[in-house]
Amino acid sequence: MKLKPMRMLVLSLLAVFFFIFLIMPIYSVVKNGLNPEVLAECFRNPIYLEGLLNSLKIALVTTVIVFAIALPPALVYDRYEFAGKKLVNTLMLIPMILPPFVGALGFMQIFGHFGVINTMLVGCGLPRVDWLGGEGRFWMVCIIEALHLYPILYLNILTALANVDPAMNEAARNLGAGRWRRFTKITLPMIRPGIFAGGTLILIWSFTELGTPLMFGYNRVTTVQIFNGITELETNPLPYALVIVLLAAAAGLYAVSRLLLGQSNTVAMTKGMAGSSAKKLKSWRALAAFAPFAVVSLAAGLPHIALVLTAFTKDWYSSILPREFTLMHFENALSHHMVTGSIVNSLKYSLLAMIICLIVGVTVAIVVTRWRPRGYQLFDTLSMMPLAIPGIIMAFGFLSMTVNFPFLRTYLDPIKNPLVLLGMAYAIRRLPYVTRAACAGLEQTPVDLEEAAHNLGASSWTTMRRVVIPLISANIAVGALFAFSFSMLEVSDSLILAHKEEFYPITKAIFELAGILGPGAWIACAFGVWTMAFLACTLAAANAILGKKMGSLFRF
Amino acid sequence: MIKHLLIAFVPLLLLLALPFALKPEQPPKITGADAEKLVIISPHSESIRFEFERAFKIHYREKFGRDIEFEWRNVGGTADIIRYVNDRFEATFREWWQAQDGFEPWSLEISKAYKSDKGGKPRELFLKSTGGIGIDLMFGGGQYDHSKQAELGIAVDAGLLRSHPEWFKPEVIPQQFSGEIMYDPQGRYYGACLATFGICYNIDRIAELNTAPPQRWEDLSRPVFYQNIALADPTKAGSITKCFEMLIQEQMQKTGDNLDQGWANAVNLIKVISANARYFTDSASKVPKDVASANAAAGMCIDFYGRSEAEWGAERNGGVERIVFVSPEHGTSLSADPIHVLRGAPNRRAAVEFIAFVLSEDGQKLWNYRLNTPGGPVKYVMRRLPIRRDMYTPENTRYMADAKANPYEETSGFIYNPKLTGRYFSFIRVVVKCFALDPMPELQAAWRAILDAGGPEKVPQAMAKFNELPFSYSELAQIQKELSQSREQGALAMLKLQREWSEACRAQYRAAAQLAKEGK
Repeated sequence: MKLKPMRMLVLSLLAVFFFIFLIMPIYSVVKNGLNPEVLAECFRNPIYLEGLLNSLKIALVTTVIVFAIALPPALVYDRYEFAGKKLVNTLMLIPMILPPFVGALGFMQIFGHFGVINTMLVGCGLPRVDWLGGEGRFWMVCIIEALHLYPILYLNILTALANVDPAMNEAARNLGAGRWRRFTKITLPMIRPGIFAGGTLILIWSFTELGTPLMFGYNRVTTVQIFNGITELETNPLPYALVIVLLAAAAGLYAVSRLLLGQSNTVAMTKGMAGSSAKKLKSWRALAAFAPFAVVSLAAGLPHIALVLTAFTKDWYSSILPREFTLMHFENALSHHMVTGSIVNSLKYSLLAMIICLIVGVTVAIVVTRWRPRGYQLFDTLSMMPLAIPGIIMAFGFLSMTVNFPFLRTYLDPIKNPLVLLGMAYAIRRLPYVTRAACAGLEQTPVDLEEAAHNLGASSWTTMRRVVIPLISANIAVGALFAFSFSMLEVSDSLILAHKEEFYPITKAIFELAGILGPGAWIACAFGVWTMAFLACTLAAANAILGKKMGSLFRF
Repeated sequence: MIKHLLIAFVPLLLLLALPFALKPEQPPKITGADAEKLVIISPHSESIRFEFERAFKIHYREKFGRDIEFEWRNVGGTADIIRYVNDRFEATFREWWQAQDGFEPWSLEISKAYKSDKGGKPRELFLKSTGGIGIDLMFGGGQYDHSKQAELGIAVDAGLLRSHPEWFKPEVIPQQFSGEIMYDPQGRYYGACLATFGICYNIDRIAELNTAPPQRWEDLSRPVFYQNIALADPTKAGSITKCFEMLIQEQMQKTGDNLDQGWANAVNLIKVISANARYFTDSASKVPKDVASANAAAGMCIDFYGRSEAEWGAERNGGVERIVFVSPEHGTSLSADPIHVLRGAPNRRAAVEFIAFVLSEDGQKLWNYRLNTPGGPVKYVMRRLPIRRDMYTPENTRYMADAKANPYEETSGFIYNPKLTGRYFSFIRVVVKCFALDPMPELQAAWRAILDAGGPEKVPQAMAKFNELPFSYSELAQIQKELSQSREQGALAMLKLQREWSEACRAQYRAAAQLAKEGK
């Protein structure tokens, strides 16, 4: 098919974007590992092979746990109305706002040797358990990752479920199909794009997750091996070769998922036609519907609760609740000279990142689901690639790129002003959420509607503006929210690319405050809690603004 | 709708307003619009940056009648800084090289040559160059890192040995102490403060484990500490490698002339301590934090981390300490934490003045004086130890947070013999990586099996297998040579060699575990 000039231009711009902000930074770093012999060494060394296998195990187990956690509440949410539904749905999004560095402090207070759970066990006459070490580390890593990542799948399934036409279920029921049969034959195939979108993000994220295994000292996994190698004092090309292996493995995982879940030939053409069919529940039935949300939210929210208490406490050691409360840490944190500047900076970087994500992500989604030029899969893969690369690699790549290419330094020098560089770096890391969300939306939107618009004389641009975008606006909003909130909490790029105090974002300020000897961690914790509250309020405000649009999707 | 929006936005606005409302009133700026600028790259924490910037601004105005502004560059820890600085120097030199007429095209060989003393013309040109990277000083990091930068030609002579000879005397700042270098004899880097290494332990956990508080490195190998020791990764921090080197030296000095035995004892002690470890963290400050929160019973750490955490713990616990820091007697050296001027520093004069200030009595007071003492810090107590020996006098110690500390006395019993391990400093990292870090699960499984079988005495064969070493101390020179040769051949040969050692260790630990299970 011959491409129209406008489409050619858009594709060229996309290619340039990916080349400068994805390929060049990755190449700048992994060129040291682009040696067949070094690559082969990754496979000769059983420790690295074992690392790869463990990463795969973590990814698969985490994804299974996430499905177990996210699917039942999403189905309950879609099918029933009950008291407190809005509240529990909001609580399900708690993991999206856990601040970095200090998050570990929350886990320690809960799972530590003298933490809450062990204190309770001792109170019941049971011995203390080493939750953070020992043999159970693998399962702890998977559970903690699952509790952090489930909102991605939950929201994607919810988005998909909201667009399943209840008439189809109704018809099946009239034909005598039972609940299970309707679920497997109608609901599941129809929400497949949402499952694919969320499932692949979780599979690849958990495959390449660094922070959680590092926190638990579960070191024989590829990402930790890369991190340990790259931060060694001696120069060593192996971690760079491992990045290439990790990338290839993640691409393989993505391809397999696409093969299993991503074929959308039977996708329901329902978008724009769905209506709510939720059944009202009362008394014990309402309580039963409430239960899965409460259990999941409580489990996911434990570190948050611990963090909030820690920020207000003077001492919390070997007791279930803190012994003495204080506002000292908040006073020390919020009155610090670097705090106000960092808030303004973070907002600037994250908003810029969100806008870039929206423009690029939606464009890629249109290319992948509508235009489908020859080799369109390349754009799909490129937009997913950032998920497979450890943050620290991308951050070093951006830095190295501005050092080694003078023409880029002229425009992107992080020392002069890192706004554009950080905005782009945040955006490229968050692009997969927007792309996947937009793709899922487009796959569920009937092409017939666009054809009808064309037949009525609407131009492509008008069709896009008046038909397609409004129909996928909820999907876009979900992607944008992820992009914004995760950008506000981005660590690697912030630490490596913001060199001067006047440009520090919130995460770097938290890191700096944590470095103050003695109370540093508590001061950082207080600022982390502020960040958490700010993000929670931002999400609530976004909900208020987008009320009807999001409401039609989430039925908030 | 308006009510809806108000409910959503009022909390957001209140939250946003809070830090702005709490922002302290800025003191009148002591710098004018025409102020000079000093650019410093540093891994030091906010506390150190804040206090030195404040004090130096006042000093500068008093001395020169001019103002100076600071620009702190923060790109991460010491390893990140070194990588960043070296990359930028390479880019600057490459761009200069490529701009010259008649020069051969830039290549990997030239990139290697300008960094090596045998590098011929590229090296000569680099050492003559005045092109910098816009940074004046590197402040903080280990002595090893600074010496490497001096060897590369990136750290340059600041001239203080000539301008302040009175400071560089054995009774003020010795060039070496117990074998450790306190400043570069060519003036390219200067120790600014000191660090000792030791053990921190949690009093409650020690009581719970029903064991005596650890006082020496060997104590960390007790079976009771299995999965209870916090360790930092020596491949990430030169300072922790130094710590392991001290442990090796201590063991080797115990066995006198039998160096092979001393080396074997030391390496096997490291193996057992590693087997007792919960983890090897990339962040050295995590160790005392985990000990303070009781997630580890004990750990190896730098003195000021341990002391600061102890002080903070006591403050929260009504003055009663939960964590104690001890310097192992005859088991720790004294390390300098240096500062240097970078090649092509844009404001070299101010950079040299800053080093002079840090080494002056006024600067040295900041490291350990308590808050609001004459000449002390105003916001943060640093708990670092001054490098100047003449600071440890009653008129100073009465204001110091660590009034009883005198590192020059405490560590004087330890005689560091650089001939024993100095040339193997980098190699120690490889040893720990191949013997303990890479095969950690197998190492721990073997140690667990030995402990489950009743301890090393009950299963001598298993313990002998556990203690087997692929090479002795007498063979180290040859091994080191092989390693260097493999490094020159390329990274691949070195990786292969390291893989073989790691694999041999894994097999050996598996065999030891099996023997222990069989009760042998």
